Amino acid sequence: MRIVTVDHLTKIYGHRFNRVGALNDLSFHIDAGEFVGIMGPSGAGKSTLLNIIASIDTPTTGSVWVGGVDLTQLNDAALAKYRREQVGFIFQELNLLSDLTVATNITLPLTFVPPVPSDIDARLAHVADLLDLTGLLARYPTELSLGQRQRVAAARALITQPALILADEPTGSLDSMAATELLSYLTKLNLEEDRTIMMVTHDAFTASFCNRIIFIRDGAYFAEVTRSGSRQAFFDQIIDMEATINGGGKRRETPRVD
Amino acid sequence: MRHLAWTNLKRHRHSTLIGAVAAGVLIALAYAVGALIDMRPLMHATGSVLEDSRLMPAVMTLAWILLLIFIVAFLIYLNTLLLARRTEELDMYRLLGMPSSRLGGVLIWEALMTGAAALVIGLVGGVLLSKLLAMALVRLMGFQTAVGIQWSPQIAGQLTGLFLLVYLIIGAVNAAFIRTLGHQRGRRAEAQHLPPRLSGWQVVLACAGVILVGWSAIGTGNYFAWVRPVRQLTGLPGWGQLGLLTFCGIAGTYLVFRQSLPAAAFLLARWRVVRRHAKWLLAANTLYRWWRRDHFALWLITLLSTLTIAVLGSAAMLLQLGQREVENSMPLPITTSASNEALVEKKAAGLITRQAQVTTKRMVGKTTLRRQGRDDPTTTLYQVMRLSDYQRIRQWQPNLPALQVAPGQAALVLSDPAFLRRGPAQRLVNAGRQITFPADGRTLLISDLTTAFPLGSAIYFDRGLVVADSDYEEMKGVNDPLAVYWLKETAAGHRVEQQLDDQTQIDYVRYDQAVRKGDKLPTATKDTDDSFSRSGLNVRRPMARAVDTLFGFAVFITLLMGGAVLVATACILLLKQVTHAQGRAPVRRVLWQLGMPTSQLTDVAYVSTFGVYLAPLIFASINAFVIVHFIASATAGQTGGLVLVVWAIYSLIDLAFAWLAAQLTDRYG
Ligand SMILES: Nc1ncnc2c1ncn2[C@@H]1O[C@H](COP(=O)(O)OP(=O)(O)OP(=O)(O)O)[C@@H](O)[C@H]1O
Ligand SMILES: [Mg+2]
Repeated sequence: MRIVTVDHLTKIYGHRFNRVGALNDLSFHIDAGEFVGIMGPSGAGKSTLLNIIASIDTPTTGSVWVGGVDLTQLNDAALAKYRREQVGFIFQELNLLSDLTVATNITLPLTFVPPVPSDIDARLAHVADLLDLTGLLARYPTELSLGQRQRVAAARALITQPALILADEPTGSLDSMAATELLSYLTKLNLEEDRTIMMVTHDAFTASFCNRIIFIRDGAYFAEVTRSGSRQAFFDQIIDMEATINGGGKRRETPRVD
Repeated sequence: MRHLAWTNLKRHRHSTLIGAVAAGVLIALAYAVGALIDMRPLMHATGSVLEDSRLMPAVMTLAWILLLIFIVAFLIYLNTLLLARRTEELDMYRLLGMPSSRLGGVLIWEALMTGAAALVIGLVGGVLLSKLLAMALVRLMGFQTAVGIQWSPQIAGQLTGLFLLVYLIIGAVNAAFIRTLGHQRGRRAEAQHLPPRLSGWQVVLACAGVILVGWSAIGTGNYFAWVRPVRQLTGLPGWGQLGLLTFCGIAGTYLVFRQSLPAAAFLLARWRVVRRHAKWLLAANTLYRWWRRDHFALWLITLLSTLTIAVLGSAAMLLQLGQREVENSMPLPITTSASNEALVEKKAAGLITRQAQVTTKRMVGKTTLRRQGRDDPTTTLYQVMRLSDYQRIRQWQPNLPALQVAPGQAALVLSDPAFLRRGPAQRLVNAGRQITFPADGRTLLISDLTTAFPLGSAIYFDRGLVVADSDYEEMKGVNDPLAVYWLKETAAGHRVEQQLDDQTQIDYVRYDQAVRKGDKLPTATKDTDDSFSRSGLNVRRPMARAVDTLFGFAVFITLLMGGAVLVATACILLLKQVTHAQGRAPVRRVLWQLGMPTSQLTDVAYVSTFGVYLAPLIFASINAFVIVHFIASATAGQTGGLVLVVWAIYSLIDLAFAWLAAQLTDRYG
């Protein structure tokens, strides 16, 4: 079953004389239950893509379908509901609220619209335990290390139990131990609870936890790699593709940036 | 440089606009008041009513100067606000290597451009406002002068010179200020993200603030029996206690904004129920930040609002008091004593529509009355009147109450309402006391008391007494016939009234030791040390007009000042709110990204903005009511409907600003 369909997506920032093409006629789709990595050089448009799928940015042309619904057709209230209930977004820049404790930051999305789920405390305890945040719940974000904050951001995205998890470099600030833990947790969610995950990353090791990697360059689809064998083999494939993309090798399409 | 200045102003267009408009409104006010002083016919008209033609221009000029001082102070404060929120930006220019002389030049240009905009708004608005103000003044003072639009090049020139200079100085000070930048780099940004905290001593101070404010209100108002003994614990005299209470109020209000309100918001945000509703949680958090950061501005605004509401309220109360005073002292068109009847009949020949005579007797009486819990023995002069005459006067003078007087009894008429206290079962405390007359040894029982003088208090030497007709005939005193006249309601009639009012006729009676003992009677005499006096000729209309003019003028001046303060405070809050909203914009964006519905984001903006505006309003209202109530009890005024109307208007304007601020806040992010 398709959960995400990206259809001829183009995003152009700026005005007539100062245009930046962030995405350029990008199309692909993701099936439910996949763990997809998005890779590509800096500035390739990965964050832009994720933002559009999360409906916090709008496409210039083209459309995004999530769960059979065309996001461009939804009104404000419906989009808010979609963000609240269907996607969990782990932001690249974390976006934690400094006035709230870690616990309140994590449970915040559950309290926007009543009724508040009755198992809110149990859910909090659960994600805090999984992400090793139990001892930090009463602290404020400014009192945490960057890696700890990243885990809080992850916990906040996961507590709503969304069908689609979008993660923008969720392991960027984690040491390899913590990164591996978060990734294995994401893998577990993906396998056991059938959550679909889209993760942007620069790091081949992180990417090797996925089962498919879509490579983007200059806002356009470049290539993709699917895991078939062991993780080590997959890792090697990713490294190869990265070398190709950075070496300026063949492309399937020439991006038009005007 | 000019170009960069223009770009900067555009980038901060909301605050630039608010600052320029507020300054413009205040300059308009200054222009209008200045132009009023220049309005010869109007000043002339007031002079003719108030007898002193210099009084009004003098007071107006004083008000004008105060207004200008206030505006300049406000502009300086406004500038510090605007600059404080830009330190980071200016700091960056410096970091990027812009020479401070060049940046200083930019700042001076910015100040001058803002000043020019404010002046244009101010002068155009001022010309329009001057007509409005003149009309309001004419209405309030009860004139029939026509007023046109006032263009006064002289005032416009003075204001332009003054305010360009002020803006130039502000720009120069800003230019000097940026040289000190860099020392505090980063400290402000850090403070913004400091987590909310509540320590033990903060709780103590928070409680202290509430207690101080509460005690200041209760102590000043004297609302409970235990207040007086507690106040006296300090051993201070009355005014000292009041000073201490005022200090408690001011310091307490500061603590409330510095500690109590943030603590309350903090605890609220900690409360489980609130934590489960993101909307309330975020509103509480926003308020916490606001109160922590801007406690000083809020405190200042509370004090200014207190002052404004109190002054406006007292002005309203005094206006009522003045009208009541006229009603009480001259309820009838013309009242005279016997010696002036001939004068009135000569001057008003052919204009008299009705005339009435009332005979009274002057006697010395002795009585002991209770006032403020103490017995107060008094010997004084009484004008005694028949009950039947009193009933007759009641037909012309509807404010007189029905009196209960049987033979052997007397109803006492005096001016101090403190004697009219009622005890259990609504019985007058002083009813049942005795009054004796040394001249004939007679004693009467006081059966009733009132403060409403038949024929008006102006025609009395001191107190009045209403007795049964049979008693009146037997009493031994000096006859003192009084007369009342009604003239034709024509221009000629009014003119004669004016002429009669210009005649000062004072009656004196003898009141020496012998009179007090009853050995001699209080006969008419010349002005001596041992005499009582009264006005022997009282004309109502000119007096009422003078009071209306005077109070109308006073109300006008207070409204003017109140308006200026209101604009200034509301603008400061608005500006702070815009700054704050810009700071909160990233938070709002994150909330939106997390799926908070826009309607709820709007709710948060409204709840927190109204919280910010309501806190000073509530505290200022409480303080102002205490002050007005205090003034009322000191002047025997009544905190009646007009005070409430004034307060309601003030609150409405304040809330309108709150609504505007909420709109702006909701626009960001
Ligand atoms: N708000 C914006 N306005 C203008 N241009 C933008 C905006 N956001 C992104 N861009 C541009 O769009 C392009 C894609 O940006 P994007 O953030 O999606 O890159 P990215 O792949 O996430 O890069 P990184 O790996 O460094 O995070 C970049 O060239 C960027 O400069
Ligand atoms: Mg990115």
